[in-house]
Amino acid sequence: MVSVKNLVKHYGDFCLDVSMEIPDGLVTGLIGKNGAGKSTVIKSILGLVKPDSGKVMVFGKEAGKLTPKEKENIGVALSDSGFSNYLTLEDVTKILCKMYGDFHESEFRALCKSQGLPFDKDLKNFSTGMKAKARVLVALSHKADLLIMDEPTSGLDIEARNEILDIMRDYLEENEKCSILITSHISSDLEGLCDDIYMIHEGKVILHEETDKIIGQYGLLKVEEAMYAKLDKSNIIKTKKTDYGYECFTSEKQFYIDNYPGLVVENGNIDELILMMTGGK
Amino acid sequence: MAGLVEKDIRLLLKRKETIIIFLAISFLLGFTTDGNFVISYLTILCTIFTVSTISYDEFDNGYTFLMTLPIDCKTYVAEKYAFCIGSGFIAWIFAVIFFLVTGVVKGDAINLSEDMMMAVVFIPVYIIMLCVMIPIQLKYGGEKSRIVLLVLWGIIALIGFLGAKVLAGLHISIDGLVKILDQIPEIVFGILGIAITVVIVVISFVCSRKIMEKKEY
Repeated sequence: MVSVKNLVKHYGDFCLDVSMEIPDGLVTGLIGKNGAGKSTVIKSILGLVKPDSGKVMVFGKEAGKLTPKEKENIGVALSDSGFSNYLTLEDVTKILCKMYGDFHESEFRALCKSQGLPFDKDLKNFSTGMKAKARVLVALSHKADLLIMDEPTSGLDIEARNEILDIMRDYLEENEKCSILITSHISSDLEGLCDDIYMIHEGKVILHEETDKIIGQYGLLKVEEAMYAKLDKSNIIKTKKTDYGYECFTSEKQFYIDNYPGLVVENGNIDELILMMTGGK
Repeated sequence: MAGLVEKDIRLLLKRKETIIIFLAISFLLGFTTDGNFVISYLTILCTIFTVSTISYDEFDNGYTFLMTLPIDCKTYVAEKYAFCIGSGFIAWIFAVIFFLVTGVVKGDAINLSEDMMMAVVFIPVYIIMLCVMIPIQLKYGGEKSRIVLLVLWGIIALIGFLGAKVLAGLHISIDGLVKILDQIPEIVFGILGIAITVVIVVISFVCSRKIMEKKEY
């Protein structure tokens, strides 16, 4: 559904250089530290920034050249941008009615009501959680085949986060061919939602892996100095020196469980992945 | 485009209290001032209000999201021109009716052809004003555009002043020029006015479109 090939974009000293794919019907996660280039990737896919070189194709067409009709098939929730805060949800509903041919007004109103979102209050008076929910519901309101969600759960408490994730899961169940690109700082959100994960660091993709593999096959080895010297390092991705020895991040934890009895092996997760891949040596 | 118009109307109505205050002022002006000042006052006021919807779009990174909606730069710019010029025209019609009604109520002697001629002249004036304001607002944003517009009006005033000085230096009388212009038939003036306005609208629209297409959000 989306193909990013050798996308290069310079901002002063920063250089983004990435390639990635968002396949049909899958949820793809994009992770990385602040300033890694996630937003630039998203903006390039949405045609909001022009690549210095490379190609960003959406629905088989250059991202910047999508027609308004084709853009109706994209739902977008951005963390730092939305409808004017001076509008109410009632205003937004009326605007969406005229903006999208496939806007499901009654469904949208019902969802907003079920989430406790008032229609007569200015968006500027919404709480952070209410704003986030409204942004996600707007993105889902017109049955788009491609959803781009930039930090949809950022700054929310666990309850609000789960509610938003549930809304997205329900949408996915009803729209099986829908593809989602989602960025988040909260690893548990991505672990429960994404089929595959791209990790971006200093403008480069440093890892692309299926989420199940990260959780099932990746692991963190805690190794003392003496054992580290004897350790087979062929499956070690990153190593970090600690007080007691080394922490080694591996993509084959079973290999070490089988061959090094007594070695402390912790299950891999996205938090560890970020910490090790961007901080280890 | 219908969605954008809906958005702009709803944004405009957010300032209904201010609009009511200005309408009340124009009501007072209509009864206390002579001439058709109220027509220019109301039309310019509407122009300023409608152009301010660009500031609302820009505020809080608004453009980033706006440009993900099913619109493109050309549609956005076309809607802004259509909305601003259309709203200005509605304000102009309202102002003309208001002017005539207050004139009748006050018992003024209304010279319909002369007053209407003055009122009609104001249509290309407000459209040209919009053609200057919209691209500047799009290029420089809400804050900077105010300074740019002030500088621009200053430059225009300076050119007028210097022009008058140059004409005086060449011993050309401005009154003489006005007399010559007066001899041109009104129909020629009208056609010329429409043609110049259309050309300015087209140039301004193309500039605005290029400004928006060049931007990154």
